[in-house]
Amino acid sequence: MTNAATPQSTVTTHRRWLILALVLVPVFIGALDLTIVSAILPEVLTRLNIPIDTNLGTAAWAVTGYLLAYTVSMIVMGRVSDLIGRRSVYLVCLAIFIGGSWWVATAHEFPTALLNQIARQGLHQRPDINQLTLLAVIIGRVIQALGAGAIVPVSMALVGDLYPPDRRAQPIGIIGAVDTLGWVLGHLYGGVMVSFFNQNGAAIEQFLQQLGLNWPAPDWHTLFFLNVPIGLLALGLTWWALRGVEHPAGEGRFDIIGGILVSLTLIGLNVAVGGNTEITGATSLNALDTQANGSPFNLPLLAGALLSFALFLIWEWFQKYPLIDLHLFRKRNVSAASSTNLLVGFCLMLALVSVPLLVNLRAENASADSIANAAEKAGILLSSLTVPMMFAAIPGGGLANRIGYRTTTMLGMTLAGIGFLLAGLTWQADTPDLVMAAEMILVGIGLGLTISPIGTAVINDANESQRGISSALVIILRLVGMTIAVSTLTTFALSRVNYLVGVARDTFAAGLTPDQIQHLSVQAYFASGIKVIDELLLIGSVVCFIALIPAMFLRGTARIESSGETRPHRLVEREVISGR
Amino acid sequence: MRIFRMRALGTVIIVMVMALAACSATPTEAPLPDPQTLLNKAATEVQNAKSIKIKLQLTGAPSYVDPPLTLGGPGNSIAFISADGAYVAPDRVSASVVASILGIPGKVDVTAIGDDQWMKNQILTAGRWVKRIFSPGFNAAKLISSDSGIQSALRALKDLKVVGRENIDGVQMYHVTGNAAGADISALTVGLIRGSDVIVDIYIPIDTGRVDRVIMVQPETVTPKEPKPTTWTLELFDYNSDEQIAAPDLGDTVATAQATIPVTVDSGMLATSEATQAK
Repeated sequence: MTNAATPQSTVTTHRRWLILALVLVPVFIGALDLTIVSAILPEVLTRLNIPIDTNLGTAAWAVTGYLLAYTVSMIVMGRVSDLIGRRSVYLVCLAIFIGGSWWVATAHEFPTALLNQIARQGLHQRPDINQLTLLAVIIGRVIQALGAGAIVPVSMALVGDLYPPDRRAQPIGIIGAVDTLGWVLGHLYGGVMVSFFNQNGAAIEQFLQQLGLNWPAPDWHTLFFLNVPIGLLALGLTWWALRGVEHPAGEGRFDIIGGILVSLTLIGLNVAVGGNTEITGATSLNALDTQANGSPFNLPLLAGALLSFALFLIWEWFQKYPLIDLHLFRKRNVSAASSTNLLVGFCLMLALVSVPLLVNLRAENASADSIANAAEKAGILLSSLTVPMMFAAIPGGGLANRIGYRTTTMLGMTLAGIGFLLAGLTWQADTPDLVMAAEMILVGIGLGLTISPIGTAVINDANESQRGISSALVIILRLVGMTIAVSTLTTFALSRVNYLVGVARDTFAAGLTPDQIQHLSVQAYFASGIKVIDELLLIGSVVCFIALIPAMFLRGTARIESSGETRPHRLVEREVISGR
Repeated sequence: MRIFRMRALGTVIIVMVMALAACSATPTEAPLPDPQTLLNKAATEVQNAKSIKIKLQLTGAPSYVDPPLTLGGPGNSIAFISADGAYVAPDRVSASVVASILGIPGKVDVTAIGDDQWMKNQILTAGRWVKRIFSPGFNAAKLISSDSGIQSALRALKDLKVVGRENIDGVQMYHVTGNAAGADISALTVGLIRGSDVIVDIYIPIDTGRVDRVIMVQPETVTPKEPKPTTWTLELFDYNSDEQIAAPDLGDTVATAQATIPVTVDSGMLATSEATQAK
């Protein structure tokens, strides 16, 4: 599809590595921002003066919106770059990401004023300013993700243009590793930095004033503002480094209808199943009942999403240049690995939301300082999940070579299932952090073991010309699994908390004083919250064991025969290390 | 011939310029009304209203409900954020009040009829209405229709001046400025505003003569930590709509004890529950 001969022959090895180093910066920042909000959302809401108990439904879109836009962008923009060139698409998407970051960082200023003007003059509404700022943050997050989602696939495709086939594995592996590192560290970075700013913000402000900089004390806005100068620097340097790197236009045309249908499917599905409440903020549990009645449009939306998905499948099947080549699913390993990875994404997100939920719920007290400290603790505890997951990907590759894709994947999902099961049985208000960490390590190792066999199985099963789209498909399905997890788990948590609180409320004796009602209400919400978190973890365990079914259909080992030549598994492993 | 054409062209241009000038000339504007007259009429409109929707928002430096030092408590722990509700004559008010307690924002639904008050909160009352005093001494009749309420506050403004006519959100309004001591206009903020110097901007639609917006800025609240002054924005709208406010249905567990919110929640809602759970 792309004529890679020109850039490969004209770009020196030194310059290729320079380009790679430069594209890694946005890859890292974009991935960092994928998970940065999971630990700091309660802090963001608190600073925006948004009542946590009634607004997390709206705030959820800061997470769901990012995931959705990231996924859609990842699906669409790789193909767009095939048609109109990597450099222009990469630079435009990076600029979009920078613009989105700036928008989020300044959400309380210009964006809020703009939305206020639109609401008052265009819609004749009298909006709440703080709510508008929250809306501005969500819009900014979506803009960020539209740019960030494209950066990874376009970077990988760029490597495909710059390097000959036999030398692509290493740079693609590096991109994947940096991308993984970004989303693994995102919540830790967010949590630690918010806590650091909370404790040292005044001192930093004073220090800056001594330097003649009259800047406000750093807070959560700063995390997004930092993206702007770094992104601009990367934009300038990449623009300079990619000059003269030609990318002849690819064949075919862009599948606009496919892009619209897949976007409608994902958005409709998430809205329909209730992806409108953030459950990573522990204090949200006391607010979940605001969503209890659901939207009257849920069922029509769900039907619309399913119809859109059916149309997408039919449309894509008959396209000469489809967005996603569905014929790939005829291959056994592609189908089995993709299905498994969808469930892996679901379980990963479930773990990512359960930890902050419990940490915030049992925060020392309901104070802003306590919320900031909880963000740090949640970030650190989440690392016990994500860091082992990242490192387990390496032995996962070795095991895939020795005992095969199927056994390695099943071993990983079994370990993760046991980890979830233990967590669901043991997490209480007074569970030591070490116990929580140990169980999350088990889940992380389990999920990490599946990364390499799943990715390698797909790549090795696909033709050489299909490897790019195949590996992208694996990532996309994991993202879809994560997105669906937020939506469905929200709906589940909502109904369960409402039900449990309702049951508890019905037991209140008649004639209670307000103080007694208050005491019992708080107790009921807390107990219901803990119970629901445990139930979420048990659901994670069940889903892990369900994932064993598609995993059973995987065949082969990482050592493959290609054109009569054996490819060491490490090369393939590097190509797929970017599993999300 | 050429000179003739030039003269003709010049004449046409002069006529066109004069015509354009005539079209674009600013029409003579009516003189601005007396500010006190405007406010008196606006105050009367408030007093006579059967119902008014009210929105009060605070931006900039926080304004604490409780004093800086409270015996046995941290002090400055409850900060007002916003209120969105309605008044129905003669003595009914219903509102959603958002306040920050120890830095954590929360929403409480409040209904007041005469001297009776009810409140609802997701955590504190498990989402059900409970009859209890939210704001001691508050009475809607005093807020709106008595001489100590909003109309009194409007009449207490000093150094009044009509700045001009402005288009605000598509509506032509008189912009009136003035200033007052916080205590004299506290009714505009349900008694929350304090301090001596308050700069007030009032917007009154030309066609109705009713107060639409009152912006109160407290410059003295600016500190190095809070560079933006406390700014209260009060909006009064939908005068005389069919708003109804009834006493909430309390269900089976009616409670009537008298207590105030700060006493019961400032120790930390979740901490309370954790301690209870631990027992």
